Amino acid sequence: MDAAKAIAAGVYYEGELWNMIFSRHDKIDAISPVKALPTLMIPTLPATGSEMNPCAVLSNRKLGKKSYVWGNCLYPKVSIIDPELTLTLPAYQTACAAADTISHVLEIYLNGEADSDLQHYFQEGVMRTVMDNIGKVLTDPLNLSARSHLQWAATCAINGWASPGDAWTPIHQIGHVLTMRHGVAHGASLVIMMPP
Amino acid sequence: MEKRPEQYYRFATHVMQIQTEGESEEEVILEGISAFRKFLRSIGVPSTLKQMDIWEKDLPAIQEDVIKISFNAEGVLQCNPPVTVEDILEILKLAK
Repeated sequence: MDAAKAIAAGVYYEGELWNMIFSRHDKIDAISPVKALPTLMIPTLPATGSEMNPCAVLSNRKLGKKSYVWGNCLYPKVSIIDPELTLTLPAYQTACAAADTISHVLEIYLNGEADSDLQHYFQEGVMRTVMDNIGKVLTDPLNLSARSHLQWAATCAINGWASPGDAWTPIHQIGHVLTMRHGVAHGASLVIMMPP
Repeated sequence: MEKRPEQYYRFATHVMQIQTEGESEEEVILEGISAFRKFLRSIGVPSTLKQMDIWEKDLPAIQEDVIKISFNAEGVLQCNPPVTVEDILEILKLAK
């Protein structure tokens, strides 16, 4: 999904494509894309939430960097979110995906805007939903109801509803480096960096 | 946890559903973290760096990359509270 977003924006993007990526410490301001081809997203992993947000995460193996591109033009035109498509997801990917969903809200819960009552309840709802359902799915991978809750929690965790302010996500930032340098699965990199 | 105890307390009670009766704030917070750690282990995802064959000698390079990619011009990772260069190494060491 994220590659599709970058390609859709890349068609119209002027200059070096990597200039759309945020990597702030380099003091090079990223230039967000403003125009993209329309995209249609069908998630098969309940994790990234890319199906309902204007963001993509990209890896550049040559530079050894994994970072973000944002732009309203990156919102998918249509997304088809069908939890049946996740029924065959193996246990390890399912668990990593659950950790990713929790991390998306936990990092904002603990390290984001403090004065945000409704968002804190959203974040708690996402975390409780994942915790209540991941065990059911790991015991019975074909439990469509539990799979559905995991998928909807993943989508709502990072579509903006639960993310006030502009705080960055520290666990994700370290996790991306572990993935690029050491090939750690994204969800696993987050669990490793969560409270010891 | 030292910087935003009220939010960690809320996590322990609202999310991990820790009982608070007769317990100090710190006890509740630590029980919440411990319950969360237990949950993460229960789903079968690795939770330490050494399980991924990442060792003390690898940490400075990881720290450097995080700074290079995600820190802002003021030299911190922008969140509440801001995360410093030293914090990154400390967090990595806690994950060994």
